[in-house]
Amino acid sequence: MSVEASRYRELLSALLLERELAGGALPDEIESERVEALDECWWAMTNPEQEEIERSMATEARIEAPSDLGAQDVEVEEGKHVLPRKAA
Amino acid sequence: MYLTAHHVQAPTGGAEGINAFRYEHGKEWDGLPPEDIPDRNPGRLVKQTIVVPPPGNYVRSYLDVVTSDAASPTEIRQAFVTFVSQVQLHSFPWSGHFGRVRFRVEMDQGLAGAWRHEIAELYRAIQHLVV
Repeated sequence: MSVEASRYRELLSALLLERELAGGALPDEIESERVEALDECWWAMTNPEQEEIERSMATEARIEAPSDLGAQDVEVEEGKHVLPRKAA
Repeated sequence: MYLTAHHVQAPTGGAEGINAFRYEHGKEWDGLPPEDIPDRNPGRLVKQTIVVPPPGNYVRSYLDVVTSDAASPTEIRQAFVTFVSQVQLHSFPWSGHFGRVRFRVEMDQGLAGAWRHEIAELYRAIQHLVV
């Protein structure tokens, strides 16, 4: 992956996560800055790189995860040095 | 400082919610905190927000954050966004660090389809404990 493609992925990831952290939308000024930076990276990429990014975006939601973490929580009193979860 | 948020499900009734905890170590580190935090040295629990009371709830997802007690919310947030951008194509669990902040994230299959929303919910739960 080229420098531009790597940068594009990082910028897009940061934008999508920051939107979620903000509860759905960023202030217009910040959103515009981020989108402008994304555009610059996008148009610096070759067509195959753009296609690769689009393919990876289409599959990114399918991240492998276990069916069960095998962990349960623990009651901890304030002041204690005890982890709040353990293996089930 | 060890911050952790758990998305838990009660074994009876199925109530779900996010509990969050803040532990402190009373120390500062210039770089990353020691590796034994949190598993062998969680620190002293100083604050918690409980939605579904422990013990015995199933942990469906969690976010662990380890850094100096004095780390600012801005430092932790920027490190978190960068960390996620670096690991987001990998299978769970995620672990790694950025700057002087170490992270660990895991979630079950049922939550992984909306992983970005889930980690934002977990992050918001610990954010309240950093101010």
